[in-house]
Amino acid sequence: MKDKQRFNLHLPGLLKVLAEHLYSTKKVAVRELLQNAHDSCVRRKIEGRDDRYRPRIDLAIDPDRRTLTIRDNGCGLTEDEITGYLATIGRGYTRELRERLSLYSPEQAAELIGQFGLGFLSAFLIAAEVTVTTRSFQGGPTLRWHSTGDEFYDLTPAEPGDVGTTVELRVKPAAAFILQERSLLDTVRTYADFLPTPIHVEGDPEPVNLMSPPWEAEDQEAAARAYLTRTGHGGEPLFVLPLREGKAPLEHDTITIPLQGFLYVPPGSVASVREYGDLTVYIRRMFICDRERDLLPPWARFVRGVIDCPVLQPTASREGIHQDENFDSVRQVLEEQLGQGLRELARDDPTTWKQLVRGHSDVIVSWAVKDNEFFERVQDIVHFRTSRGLLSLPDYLRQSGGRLYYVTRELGSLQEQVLAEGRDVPAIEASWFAVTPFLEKYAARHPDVDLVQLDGAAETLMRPVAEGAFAALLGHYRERGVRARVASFKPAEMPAVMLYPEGAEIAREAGAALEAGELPGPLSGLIGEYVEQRFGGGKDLQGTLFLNASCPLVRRLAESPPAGPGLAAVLDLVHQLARLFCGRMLDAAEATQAFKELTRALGGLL
Amino acid sequence: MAIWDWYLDCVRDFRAAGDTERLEMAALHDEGFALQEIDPDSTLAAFTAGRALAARLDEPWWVLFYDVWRVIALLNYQHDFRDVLDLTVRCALEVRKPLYAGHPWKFAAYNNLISAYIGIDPAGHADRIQEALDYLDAELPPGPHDDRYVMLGKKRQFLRETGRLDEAYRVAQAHLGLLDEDDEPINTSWYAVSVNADLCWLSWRRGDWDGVAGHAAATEELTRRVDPSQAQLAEALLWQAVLARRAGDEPTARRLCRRAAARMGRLRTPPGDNYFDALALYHELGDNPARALEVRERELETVSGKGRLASECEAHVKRCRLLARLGRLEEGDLAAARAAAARLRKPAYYLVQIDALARG
Repeated sequence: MKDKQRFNLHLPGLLKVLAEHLYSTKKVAVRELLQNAHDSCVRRKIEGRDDRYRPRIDLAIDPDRRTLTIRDNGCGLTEDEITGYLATIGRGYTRELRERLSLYSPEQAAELIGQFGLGFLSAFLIAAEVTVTTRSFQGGPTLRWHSTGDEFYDLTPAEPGDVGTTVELRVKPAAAFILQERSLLDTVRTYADFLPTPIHVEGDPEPVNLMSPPWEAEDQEAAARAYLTRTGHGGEPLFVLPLREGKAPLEHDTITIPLQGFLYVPPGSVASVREYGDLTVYIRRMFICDRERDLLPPWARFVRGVIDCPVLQPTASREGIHQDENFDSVRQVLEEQLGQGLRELARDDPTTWKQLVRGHSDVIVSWAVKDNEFFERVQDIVHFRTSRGLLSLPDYLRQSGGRLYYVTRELGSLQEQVLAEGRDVPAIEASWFAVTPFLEKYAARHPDVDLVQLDGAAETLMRPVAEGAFAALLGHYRERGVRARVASFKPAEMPAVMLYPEGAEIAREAGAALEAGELPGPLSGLIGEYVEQRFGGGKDLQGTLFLNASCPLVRRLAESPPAGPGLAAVLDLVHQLARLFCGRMLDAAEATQAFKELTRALGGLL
Repeated sequence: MAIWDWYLDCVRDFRAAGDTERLEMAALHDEGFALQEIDPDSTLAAFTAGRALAARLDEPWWVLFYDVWRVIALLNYQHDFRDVLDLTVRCALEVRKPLYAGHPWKFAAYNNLISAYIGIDPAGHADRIQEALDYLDAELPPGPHDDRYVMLGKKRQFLRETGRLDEAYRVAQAHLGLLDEDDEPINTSWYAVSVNADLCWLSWRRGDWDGVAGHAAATEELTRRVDPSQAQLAEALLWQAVLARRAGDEPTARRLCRRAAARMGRLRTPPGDNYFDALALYHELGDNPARALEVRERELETVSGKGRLASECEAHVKRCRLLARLGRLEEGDLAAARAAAARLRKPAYYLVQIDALARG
């Protein structure tokens, strides 16, 4: 037995791995073949030294024969190159050429895209058979290479042809969608829109790709806006920020990060929860991915962008980016440029800045809670949902007399809102999880601003009143075991409200479940501790009926009560109305009982 | 039925019916889940949006599904225990109703209830927590199962938080044994990451450095297969940095520590106790108690005001210990530690340590 032995490669197995695990979509086969064609043209331009040379790529489909043909007029391949590169997995001429060029011609090296020597294999993601016909610009015969994706290939002489390479794919039925012209056009535009080599489909004299990215235009911002319109990236952006190369610290040094592209802010959030700061990433003009979410800082989820950065390292599938040190450096450069751009926007164009903040309030609020500098910039601009529509905090405070009243309940806060409006103040709807911390932070930074949570604390909207004149009315309720107080509040038409401590409903349900033995015994211990801790064992759960001393009806009852059973009937009516309007702490049986008592009281008045 | 079987069955039915709204409702889980480490606020927002959509579509099982996930997001991703009990108790109450008979998330709601109390004040509620854990142990189906894995994780955490490290170690090893029986590779890797990450800490506390090395390597390897588990990867790298520093391999130690810090720095989920302990230990081994103190102060800042009463007290005590070592311990520091202890139901364990530090 020899010490060192050679691996055997099982090509069909490898192709299966590529197809099922490396690439997420079959369309990448087109990307890889286009990129090979482009690199081939670049190589001919570099090594052919012919000023008249005009690179070109042509795509053709034949649905009847189920073939896709990709032809380039690039450098072609010699027999040795076919053996050494095309038929050798993991070895690519492009990478070797780039390494050579990087020493004396980095600009030309940057035009090349191929890296891993794996791309050609992806042809078998969509093809059952691949035929390559090629003639090298260095001379020699035209050759025909043919493979069905197993361990073997045929290499034979072919009819003489032009310099360049033609790859013909006999497409598998499962990938036949690529033979539809629309699908092919979309694929080419997705992956190769910015490749500088013109790509023609079905003989169209106009190339289908843009060839030049918007950041190479003279007016980058206008080109970026036109590009976003062409690609259907939502409405007219509020803000476009062209990017430039930047410096990032690395250990004790700084490095230059070549960066091109632009960031933009769409006009508004459709669904804030779905905004992740998506970037479309190109590397050397080749599309890599369109949902890169880690390159922008977390506070910038309302921002999107398109970037090209050659220092980012693609994964082997080139559908993602390695999160290495370069990634961190690019992130820093982006954060710095975006921060500066937004600061300048706020300073130079306050109208757009306000539109931007208002359009993306939910996302901005949640980040401002965590970032003090950002908070300072947006605190007076973001808008909140209130019982009077969207309002900024300064506008709100002008209406509320310097207090922030808010409700956190998702549903059932009508009573609190009515009480707030009764005091002529709007209530802020704070069910979105970041709103309360934002308001707390705002109040902490503005000592003159009070913060009042209305859930369970609507009492703060009432003015205390001495019981004296109302003692008889309160006595009626207390005799019936109803906790009752008197206060003055608005609207004056409201005779009484029923208030419960925050969280009382859960605690009551927990108490009832414990009493009924509906919870598994050992778990009831923990729930019992919750009730005990939160509400002193349930003793504080009883609501309080607040009679409204401002209500003419209540005052009349207190000053000149009707004789006979009429007073009791009206007071019961007021109590049941308050319970029903509150809508809490009532199960179906209790609500039915409340209606019964209400009907009985009404009957007593007849 | 296991939760993921139910979830996938629903998604299949929604897809077959072309019900895009319900597909959207289900998809919000995946979106939120994927963001748990890098943006836990968005995770909570996605689960909240999922719940709202479920309520609008009149899907009570999905409402409960998302409520349970919201609790998980608060407990595990945001580490925010301030108001979590209201929602946790609400879920535990909901699952008892006939409407939810057969809902596969029933035990998860109970696990959350236990988890919340362990995170708030484990010693203060020890008897009740123990009863609840014993109940789940008896009720859950034997053998490999999601709910059992979660329960074992809670049991391990409870034992650890109440100082029973040998028992915690045994539970962790038994957990690994159970995972080994599981023929579902995703389960095996997913739960094994956190077990191994905890075993690094437990091995360190037991003085078993080989154990630290083995479990750190296992954690690192597993995190390559499981996403999202970047926080555990950062912990594993830190433990390896500690080991390298102990072995005198300073360049490797620094490189690993940098990698760990960079990894953790990308995450918005707060670092856990394991991370802070390993990082403080790293600096202490480097004879740099001032840096270790910075770590403890960051830890205190991280846990303060989040309703994690025991963790906050523990962080105060660790900080005081380092201040004492640096000769900078002042009465104000001790008073803050005592105030934190006073919020616990059974503060004696910490008060003894604080008094000892006060005596010098």
